[in-house]
Amino acid sequence: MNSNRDSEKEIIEFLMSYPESVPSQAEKARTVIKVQREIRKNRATRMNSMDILFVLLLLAAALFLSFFIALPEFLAEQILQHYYQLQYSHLIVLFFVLSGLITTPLLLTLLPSNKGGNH
Amino acid sequence: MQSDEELQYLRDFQKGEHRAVEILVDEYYPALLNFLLRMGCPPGDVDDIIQETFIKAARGLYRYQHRHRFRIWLFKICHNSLRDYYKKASRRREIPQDPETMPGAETGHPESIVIEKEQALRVQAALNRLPPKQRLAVVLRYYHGFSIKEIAQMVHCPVGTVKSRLNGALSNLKSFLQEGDVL
Repeated sequence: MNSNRDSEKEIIEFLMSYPESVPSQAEKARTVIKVQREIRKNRATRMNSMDILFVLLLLAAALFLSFFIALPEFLAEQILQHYYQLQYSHLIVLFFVLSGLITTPLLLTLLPSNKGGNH
Repeated sequence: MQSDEELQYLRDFQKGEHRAVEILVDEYYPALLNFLLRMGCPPGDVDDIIQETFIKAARGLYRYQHRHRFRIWLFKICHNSLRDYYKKASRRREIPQDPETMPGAETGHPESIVIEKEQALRVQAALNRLPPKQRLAVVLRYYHGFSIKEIAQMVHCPVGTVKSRLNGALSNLKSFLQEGDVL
């Protein structure tokens, strides 16, 4: 039992005889500059993709609104009823609106452009 | 668990703020450097792997769960980066070991530097003979002071497996010492 402990101690002493390497200030400074540059670059790219996403959403919303303001009779529900004679066309429209409302925040959360803000 | 101050540093680090990056690099660079060298990484590539580790940490900080210590998480990233490095090196058919540039005190008496380098070579030779999983367990446990539970979290295996790897490593090292190959 004691000999086991002694040999374990001997092995640990042997392992501990490995000297610690001390990095130079220059190595650390180089790492700080490189890491900072990469993080900033990464954040800049992320900001760009978020900007594009917002512009696209804004554009879609503007088109949607201008379309219905210009032609009020062109309601999605009426179009569906006219072409497909659907009894529950208003429910279908509602379904699309609701599923859009639910999935959009989910998609926005999943998008890589949205990562990193909150943890 | 992190203190509020540490959490603030991590947030600033994620934003790439100079002071936070400097503090984290200053704190963790030496530990990562020694970890990589003991894991057999060539000194010439250590700098790149450490930089990659910090960059990956900043990118993936949103995934970091605060129930684990940041140090554990960072070592895990560093180990993964080292594994990627070995994969790339094996594809390029490079041999990742340079005994001439082994660690040792860079300052001090030339004679003591030689002795320390020789000792480092002996220990590194013994570590290199261990299977990679045993080597990882030994390096994390004895050089970096991680608990067996923390190592288990890091390598995603049960505590018992880590214990058996450590016991296996110690008995292997004992036989290397008895053979006199490393002394």
